[in-house]
Amino acid sequence: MGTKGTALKQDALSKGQSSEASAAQAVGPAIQAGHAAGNQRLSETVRAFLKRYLVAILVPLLFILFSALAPSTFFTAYNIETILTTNAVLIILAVGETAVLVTGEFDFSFGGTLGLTAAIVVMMITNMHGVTSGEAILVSFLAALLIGVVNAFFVIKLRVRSFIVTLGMGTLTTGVGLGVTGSQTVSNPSKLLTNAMTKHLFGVGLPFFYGLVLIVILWLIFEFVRTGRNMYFVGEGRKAAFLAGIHVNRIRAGVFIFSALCAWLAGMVMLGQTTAVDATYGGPYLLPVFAAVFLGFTTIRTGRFNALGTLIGVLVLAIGSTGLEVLSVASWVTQVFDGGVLIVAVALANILGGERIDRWL
Amino acid sequence: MHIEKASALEVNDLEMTFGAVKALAGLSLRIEQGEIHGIVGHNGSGKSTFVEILAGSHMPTGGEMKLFGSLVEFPGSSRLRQRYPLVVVHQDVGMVGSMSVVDNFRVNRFGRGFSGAIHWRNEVRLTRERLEALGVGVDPKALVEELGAASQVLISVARALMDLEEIRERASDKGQSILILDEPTSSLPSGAVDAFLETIRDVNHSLGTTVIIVSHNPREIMALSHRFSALKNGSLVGTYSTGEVSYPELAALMAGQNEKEFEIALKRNASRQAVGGDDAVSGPALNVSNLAGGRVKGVDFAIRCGEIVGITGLLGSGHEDVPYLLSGAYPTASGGIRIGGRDIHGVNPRRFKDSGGVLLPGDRQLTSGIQAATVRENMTMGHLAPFKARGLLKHRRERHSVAQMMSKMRILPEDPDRPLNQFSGGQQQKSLIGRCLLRSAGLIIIDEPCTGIDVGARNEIHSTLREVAESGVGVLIASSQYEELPMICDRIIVLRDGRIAGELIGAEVSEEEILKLCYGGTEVAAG
Repeated sequence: MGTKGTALKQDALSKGQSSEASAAQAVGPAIQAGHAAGNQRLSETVRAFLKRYLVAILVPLLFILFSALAPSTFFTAYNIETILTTNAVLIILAVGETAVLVTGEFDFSFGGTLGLTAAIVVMMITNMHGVTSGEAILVSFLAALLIGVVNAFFVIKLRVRSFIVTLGMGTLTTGVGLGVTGSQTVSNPSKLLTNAMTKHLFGVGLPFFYGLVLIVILWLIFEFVRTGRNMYFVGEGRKAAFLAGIHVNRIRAGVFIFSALCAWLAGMVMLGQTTAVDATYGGPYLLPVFAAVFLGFTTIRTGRFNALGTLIGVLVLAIGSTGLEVLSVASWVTQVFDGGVLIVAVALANILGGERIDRWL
Repeated sequence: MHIEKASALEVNDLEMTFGAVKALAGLSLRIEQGEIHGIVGHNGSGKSTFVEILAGSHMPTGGEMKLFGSLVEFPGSSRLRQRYPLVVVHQDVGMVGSMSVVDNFRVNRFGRGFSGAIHWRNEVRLTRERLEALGVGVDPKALVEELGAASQVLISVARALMDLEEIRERASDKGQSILILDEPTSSLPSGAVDAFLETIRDVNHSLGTTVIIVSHNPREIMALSHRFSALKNGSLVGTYSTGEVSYPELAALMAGQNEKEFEIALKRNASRQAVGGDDAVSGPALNVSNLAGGRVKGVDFAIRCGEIVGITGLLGSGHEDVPYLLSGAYPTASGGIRIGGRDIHGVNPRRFKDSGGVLLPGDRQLTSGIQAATVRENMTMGHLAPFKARGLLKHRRERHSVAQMMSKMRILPEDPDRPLNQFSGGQQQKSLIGRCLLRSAGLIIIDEPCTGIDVGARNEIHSTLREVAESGVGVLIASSQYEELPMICDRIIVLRDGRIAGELIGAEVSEEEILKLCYGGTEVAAG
């Protein structure tokens, strides 16, 4: 990824210089001095552009790369639809995590919440006579809400680091989920969920659009709502924000609850999309979620976690890992890719985020 | 007349710059063997930087250093630092509260047997002996946090003395050593100060250790030192024998004021007095009754609209807590606060803001500015309401207001979307002052408005504050910059030990008068 970036940069730079140079020859030496400054300004512009869009450019680049390598399998409408549909869960989880990371906290509990809420729905419908899908879903929603509130309580009232609280909560809820299901993989009895999660629009599963809607909402909040601006303040200068009269703790509590509810939605999506789940299904998302959100940190609003960046991060991961699968490289490569991307993403965040990053990493 | 003795420590033309700030500007100083030498000066005089250099935590940008007559490398550059017969006891004494006295005392110095295990019995005995030699009778196994501040300071002194001895043994040089105490009494209760000074006098007398004591408190210097050096603006004002200088002379030396600036401030005050008076712009901006909390033990004062009031005192006198008590950032023990004539109950930063108050805290890195955020975001932080329409932020309106403020305050480069940390300290502070101005507030409270910024920015901030006051806002400035307050304030309230020691109005306002009130008048005699 790094070499590609520099190659790109040099290419863009030399192009800029050569066109400038020929222009200067044509006009003559009289304005050479002014033009040198212009040249510098141009390279500044190029650098600024790359800083914002380097990672975003990866999306079409990776897409073209894999399409060229596997035109008959990767570059098909069916495959593209599948990529988007199957990554809905990742998008939804990443939206929740973005909100949490913006405020300078962590949430590692979403995997457990996802598994537990899905387990609750299945077990209630299967084992409790007369419970409707809707009621079971409502109960699972309340369970997620409770998890968010408990996370917030420990972090804010008891001042335990969110890192610790949510790490514990993730394992705890996974355990409860296993207990609820008797450690079995259980199949989804809810027609309601299956319908809501398997319908298609333009060939793409509905859940992808749910994720998209969440991205748009998050984007609106960050860009155009006071609370969004204050969320960044809480992450970047908590003390200053408090002294300026911002409701720091209310915001912190809010993001833990928001994240838990995103995990709940992801749980419902997964339950509807797959015919069977078990309580540990959320676990494998831990790494890709963080990799996606940190990739997002390096683009669009470079140096800040941001909504569009998160979407781009998910797409990079999705295209990359699907591409590797389609090329029928061994399946372990996906893990190598996800892990590698997380490290590279954070390193890139350091380089591109520059002055803004030190608070997080 | 002073007869010269062999020198223990000598520095020549010491220079130290931090970015644009010159902390030391050619400081030359000579300390003699066996004396107790005081270093006095105000904030920013360079005394802390001097100590940091001796402790090896800073490398000076220029100058030379001699120890007992021979030229040596600065401790910061040298691996020999551990061998210099010179130990600094820092202000915060460097103790781990949750560990025992022995642990703290012998950390890194534990003697070990053949097995590599620590001989605890020996260690405890040794610690007890060492402490008793200084008259500290504490149980070596007690936790440090359970001890009083006085014992803690003495333990750190005992530890420093032990280090000096070991350094000399290792160097097989039985010569002299230097003990440097950086504001050693700042954490002591006033009752314990005399006993502590006596101990130091004893160490100096019986062991022949040269002692350098840095202090902002002239009384201590008068009581303890043989000679002292006064520092101002990073260089030496002079070195004096304690017996030859009276207390008021010392206070004046510490002040060393710039007469021109003083005159300007006087004129400004005079003009305000003439135009102003009680019925000037009128109503009350702030009324405080019996405010207590933190180091403040009950103060009453009021600020009228259109007035700039300073609140000051020595470090720890409580003036530094006042902005945070008033804005509800610190819990108050008691007190009534009225802003613009309206009582505020259960004040917290949010309520303070909603009542028309603005607080600008004193630390640009942590409490007032958000370094990673842009100037625009910093300026409108906490009061985005005017830039909202139907619940959504109007970026263009916001950017426009901020750009206007930037050009008014001459903040360069005039780019509202540049992160705060890409501006110099002075530009940052102007941006944050801009935040106060952008709001239509009735009361502005600023903690240390001008620390670490250049004179140009300071003057601009002063004139802006005057302008905003004239528009009918009450302004309260908390500061320890005694030379700055007279330039800007109409009135200055001086705190001592958490209570109001006095108030200076109009022509009375001067650095010298502030210092007199800070130190409790002139009743203290030398020696």
